[in-house]
Amino acid sequence: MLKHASIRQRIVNLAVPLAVTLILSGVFLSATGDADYMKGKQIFDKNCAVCHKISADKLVGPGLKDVTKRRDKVWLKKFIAASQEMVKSGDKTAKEVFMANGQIPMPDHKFLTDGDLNNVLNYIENFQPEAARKVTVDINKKDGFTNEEIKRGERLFFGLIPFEKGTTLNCASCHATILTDSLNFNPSVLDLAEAWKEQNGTNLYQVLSSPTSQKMTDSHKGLQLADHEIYDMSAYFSEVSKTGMETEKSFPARLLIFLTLGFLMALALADLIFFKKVKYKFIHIIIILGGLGVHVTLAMQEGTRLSRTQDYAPDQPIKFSHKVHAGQNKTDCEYCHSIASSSKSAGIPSPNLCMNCHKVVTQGARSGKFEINKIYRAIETGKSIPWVRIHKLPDHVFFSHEQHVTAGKVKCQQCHGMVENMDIVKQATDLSMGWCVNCHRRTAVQFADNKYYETFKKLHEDYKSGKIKKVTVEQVGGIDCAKCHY
Amino acid sequence: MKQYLIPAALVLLALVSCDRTRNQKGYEYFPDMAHSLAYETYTANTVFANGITDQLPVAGTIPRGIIPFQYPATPEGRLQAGKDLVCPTEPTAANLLKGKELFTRFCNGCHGADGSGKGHLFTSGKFAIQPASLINERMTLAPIGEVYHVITMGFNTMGAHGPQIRPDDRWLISLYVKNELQKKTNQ
Repeated sequence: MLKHASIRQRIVNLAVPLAVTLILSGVFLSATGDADYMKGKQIFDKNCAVCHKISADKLVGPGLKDVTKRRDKVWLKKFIAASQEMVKSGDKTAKEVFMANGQIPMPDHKFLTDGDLNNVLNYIENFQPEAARKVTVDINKKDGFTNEEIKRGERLFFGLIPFEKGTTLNCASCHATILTDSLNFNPSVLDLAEAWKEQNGTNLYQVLSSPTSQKMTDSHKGLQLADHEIYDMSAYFSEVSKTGMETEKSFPARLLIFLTLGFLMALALADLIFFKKVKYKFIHIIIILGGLGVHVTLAMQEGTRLSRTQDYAPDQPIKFSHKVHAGQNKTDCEYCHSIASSSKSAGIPSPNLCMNCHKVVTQGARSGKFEINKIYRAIETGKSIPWVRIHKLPDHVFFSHEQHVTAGKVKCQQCHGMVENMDIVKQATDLSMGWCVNCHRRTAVQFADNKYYETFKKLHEDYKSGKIKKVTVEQVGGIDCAKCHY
Repeated sequence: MKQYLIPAALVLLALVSCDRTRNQKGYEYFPDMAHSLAYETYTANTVFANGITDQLPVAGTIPRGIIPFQYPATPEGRLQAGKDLVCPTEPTAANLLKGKELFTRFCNGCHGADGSGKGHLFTSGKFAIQPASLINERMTLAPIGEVYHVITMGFNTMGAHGPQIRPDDRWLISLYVKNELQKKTNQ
């Protein structure tokens, strides 16, 4: 630590005269418009933000707060363009910076023009952590909003009333207002409402005026909300956060079929015995037999589905896509579910583990920053992320991942399906007892050279003499009741 | 009567099994023994203030069988760990094979199969900065304890992998890096 302090002292020693020179030379007096600031922000976010923060804190490289005061601008520009060349050519300051930051070379940025560099430096110099809050709406206010305000906000959201400053955008075409069957990566209206509520309604204006990601910039282009529009939309959000999102209604088709056929059968029976309006008796018989067949089939199907949750694919608190993480990024299942090979449970990774990558990857291609920000918020607040459990065996059956993954060498996909192709994880198998038993009957254990199965004398004799080619899980007691139920 | 049969059959065909959305679990039948009365690892818990069943050890205590890692996540801590730590396992063929398997699982994504720092996450453009090379001169000269320290505590942008990989497995990975990856490239 001593070494660092001395270098910092030297930097300060260098910086003070430099800052004085800069102030005297009138750098701060040069007029800088908003446009240059935004350009600088864009360049900074794209090229610098991965390693640098504009604060006193170090990320990978040093914090850049007041860097323009510490160092000469010409020197800075040279360093940004090609830092390693400067270090090698023996520039003293460059070498010091390099040594003080763990000797991690900063990549060259020769593609940035002089104008770009000016903009970036201007942005760093004039950086303001948060745009000034311009509109404040108390979204949690007790007396609530009037019905009219809520309705107007809803209509603005759905694009039924155009925005005053003329744009054809409507919010509802991207932000889901009902739960749908596919994964919409944009924050839903409820997500937005919750976020607004947390911020006490103060950042609707702010977020829209300084988008957090490229995706957001592109999709909100030209959107400028008037103050009263923000007020009305806040009213709508407030309402949504109270009532929740509309859920997709299921249609009770099977029940209707059951009842309709039951009615038809009763009619046929009544006609057969009392009314006798239909001459041909085979019609009654067909209806009754066919109806009975459908009834029995439906009852059997629904009966077997009881307590099994196959095809269950609930919405999760974060729109986490296994297709992106395990599929495209080729992350091993056990990188995150790292205790699967040594524990009963496969393990739900903690937000800490997400940060292994998301320290660097701060925005998604489809979701922008909204979803990834939820990880950061979880870490800041120390609240757990309430993931919804999908695969769950009843409590009266014992199952251990360790036994299956480590000893049995079963691939994850065999039970969980091709999770690497799923945006929304779905329970692929029914996880029924019959399904377990069938697999135990088919699957061979590693019988040769395995001390664990030494005591199976008769099986060893048969195996050696070639009487049996493989020993299945069943043969070593894999379908005994007490193996799983105790 | 006959005319009802055909529409009924059509309705039956068209609407079979669309009565449950993906967010619905379906029904249960006498689930008396299906749900654990005791708290499970990940279930919410009303007893503790933070609502979590899976609590961290009480501050100031050490769980049985766990030796806390004593070197801080600083460059100095790394150097000190390099000087002090001795690998408890031997680089046998079986250990190196296991080490390779673990390396492939935990390290490949960033550092690449050859350890050059050109892993899939970097080459596919997800990471803007290149992860460190494990086979350069600096890393080849570093003692095995440093590798173990970096895996456990992380370094720079790399997060701590201590909570994720057990100590024995971390040593196996370190062995693989020192005895196979680095030797392969230096030959």
